Amino acid sequence: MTSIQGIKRILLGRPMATAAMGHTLLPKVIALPVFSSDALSSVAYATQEILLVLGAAGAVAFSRVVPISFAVASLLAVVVVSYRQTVRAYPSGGGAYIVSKENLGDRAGLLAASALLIDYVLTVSVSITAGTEAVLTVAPSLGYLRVEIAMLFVAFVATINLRGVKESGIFFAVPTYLFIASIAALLVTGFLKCLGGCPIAESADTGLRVEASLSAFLILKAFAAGTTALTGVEAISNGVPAFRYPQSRNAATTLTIMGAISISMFLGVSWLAHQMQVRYVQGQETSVLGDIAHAVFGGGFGFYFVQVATAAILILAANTAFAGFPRLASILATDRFMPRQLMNRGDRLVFSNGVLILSLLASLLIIVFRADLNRLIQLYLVGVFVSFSLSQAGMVVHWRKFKDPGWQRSTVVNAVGAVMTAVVLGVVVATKFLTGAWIVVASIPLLMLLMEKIHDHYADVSLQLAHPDRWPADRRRGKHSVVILVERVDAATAHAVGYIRAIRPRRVTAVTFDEAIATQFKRIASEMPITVLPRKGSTVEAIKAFLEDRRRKLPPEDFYSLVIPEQLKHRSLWEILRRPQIHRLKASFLGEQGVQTVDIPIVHDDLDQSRDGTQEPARNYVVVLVSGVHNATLQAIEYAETLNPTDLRAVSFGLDLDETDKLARQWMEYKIPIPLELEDSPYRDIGQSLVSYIKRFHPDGSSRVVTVILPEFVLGKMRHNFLHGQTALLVKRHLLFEKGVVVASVPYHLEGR
Amino acid sequence: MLGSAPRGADERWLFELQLWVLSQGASSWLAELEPYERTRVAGGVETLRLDPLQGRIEASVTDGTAAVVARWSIRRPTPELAVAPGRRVVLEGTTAIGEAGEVILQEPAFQVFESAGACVR
Repeated sequence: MTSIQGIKRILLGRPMATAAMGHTLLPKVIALPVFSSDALSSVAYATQEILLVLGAAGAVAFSRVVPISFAVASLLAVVVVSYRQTVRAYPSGGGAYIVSKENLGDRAGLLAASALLIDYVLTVSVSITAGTEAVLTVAPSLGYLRVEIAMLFVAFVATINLRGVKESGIFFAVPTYLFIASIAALLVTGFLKCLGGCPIAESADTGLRVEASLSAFLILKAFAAGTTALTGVEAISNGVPAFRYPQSRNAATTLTIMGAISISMFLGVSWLAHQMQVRYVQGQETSVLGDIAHAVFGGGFGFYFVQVATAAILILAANTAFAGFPRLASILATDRFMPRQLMNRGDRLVFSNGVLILSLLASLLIIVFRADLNRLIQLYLVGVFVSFSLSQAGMVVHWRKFKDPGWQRSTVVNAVGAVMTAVVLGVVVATKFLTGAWIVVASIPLLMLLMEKIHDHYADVSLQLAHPDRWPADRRRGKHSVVILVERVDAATAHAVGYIRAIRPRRVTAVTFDEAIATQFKRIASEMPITVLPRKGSTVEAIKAFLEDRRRKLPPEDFYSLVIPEQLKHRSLWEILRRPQIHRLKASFLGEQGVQTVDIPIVHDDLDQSRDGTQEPARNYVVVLVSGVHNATLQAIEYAETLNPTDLRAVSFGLDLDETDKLARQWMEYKIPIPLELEDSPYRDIGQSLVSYIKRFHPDGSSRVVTVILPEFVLGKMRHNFLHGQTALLVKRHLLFEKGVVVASVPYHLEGR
Repeated sequence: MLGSAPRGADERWLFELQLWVLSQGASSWLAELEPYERTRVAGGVETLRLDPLQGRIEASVTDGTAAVVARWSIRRPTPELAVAPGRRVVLEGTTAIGEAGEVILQEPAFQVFESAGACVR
């Protein structure tokens, strides 16, 4: 195990097999803290946001806090009921994205998805920043490390999430339930005290500057501010597949519980705030919740319990985004709107790439905004209300389309929800546009455009790969010519000579830059003509020019391979790093049309001094690694047939059952004339699985070799490379040190459009 | 009951697989199979091999005690393609001897399940 793998093992734990997926499914008691921490934590500041707006109209306006809170709670109830219907109708998850896409069209789906993704990033930034502020309240001397502390919290939450959904849920359950318990204790104690006359909060004496009249617009603005209590409600609808079976029912139940707890806590806090004459103005040090807690508990243990629990839940609210963002990104990647790398689960069955990208983006926001909560919060709410409105509108279309029992009532509920959330969206955008919301309003269409471009690219690649210029019935039977690069005459070169003799190409040429080496080479392979290239300029360019000249003279269906012998001192990645020229050479030839590279590595420890390496191996097992039936695969099979194989077969490691089914069907449909073996890859590691598979042939490097053919498609534009997982590179890294293994890269060139 | 673990599996998966095998009414463990007898066995699919040229589909199935190859001739349609790696399968048929002298199941009836136990077909 390398040191990097060791650190990964310590931080994240042992890899988990795909078969263990069932054990990662969440019971409701764990799912509630995982998916609801954001929604529950907003109780900590929703009432505060309402009071902040109302304060502009003076003390008389504060009497509106309870009816406004009831209105917000009603909207929250409508949204919860709506999402209950969504989780039942769409049990595969995806939430607002799936509902919008299927009922309102692809563009609406992308709009909802973009809004949600941005909102998830903001959730992490805002909640972590809020939590950091709570910590700095206790330790103000650390204020100059605000950004660093916030990023440390991001890293901490990300690491816990990378360990697994269930593990993170168990870890975060305690603080979440402690928060619920602290608020429950606060409300019960507060209500009891109010029976004999409510205590008055310390902030009741705060002077207010009247800046506006108590108009309908101000009430609406306060209502919009209070709707921060709705953030995080959609997370459960995204994460239905994470629940234990029956998934839809458990998700719906958890949603109801979350809604009931949120509404109760929010209304309770608002009522107490009103009764205790709590006031809140910009820049006030004590929060509304802190003020109420102080009034109820008098600054004792109860007060500190509420403060600590609130700080913890504010940080953990980010966990909802860590549960939602990677899952949504995975669904978008499956639909080809995001890079494919976001589709796959990592070692711990978590969408690791999504977790890492979310951490990166949130950290970037924290750095750019200097962990300033007041500035970050201006960006908040736009995204979540875009997705709410679209989701509810989508459900209206759904009910009218399918007319399930009770569809009329459901339609009315969703229609009312859609209108109300759209109104809130309008108010939020209008009131926060100039203070920061414009950034989100501008970012959403840009993200949509990016996703559409990604989708177009994948569609173009599929089209080019599917173009039937290589169907088995039309196969061109090409011949094989080989050029062997001779840098020195050593054991690796001797083995390469033996391998070339085994594959019996039509024509063989050796190239070198040294006359003395040419002379030595003729002694071990007299039948292979050797050309001494002039040593001027770049070695790579000289070899390229030589190959291009020869390639031009061959028929287009012929294969032309550059054989590169490599002698390695140790089984260490350092061996790769200390020989950059070889790797530049291999990388540069990947882009050359009509040239394949054959890597014949040999580790010093594997050398058998008693054997003549130039002897051809008795058995050459050729294995073509395939992922689908397309031109790159078919070309690789044609190439493999020219290697004079003892045994030729294709192998695929099924990471996805649907893809495996499709591959099997297509293999039979197109009558591809070599056997295909579909192998299980329990830990989703193609490299390791391939190494285990190859070992069945017992390659020894002398009498038995295994040639692994890697079809690689080469993209026309370099920037498209980030949209494709570098599977071939990862596989080559695993195979480089395996005894008796030859690796041939067969590139298929795509046009850059 | 718990024989050698299949490659790549961990102990809990193996234990659950064997519990599942028992729940499917398997008449014997794969390690106990004899040739030319009627049997009902179950296990997880490790490999599916498609050989269009030879006209054959083969699945390697394990229950943790051993592996057995189930072999079918290719006919249209090819429902055997559902016997994919990662799924579980119940096989019912008569054992035979393969080319290498191993016990195989020739043209067995089969029922495929997703790993969680839900029937695929």
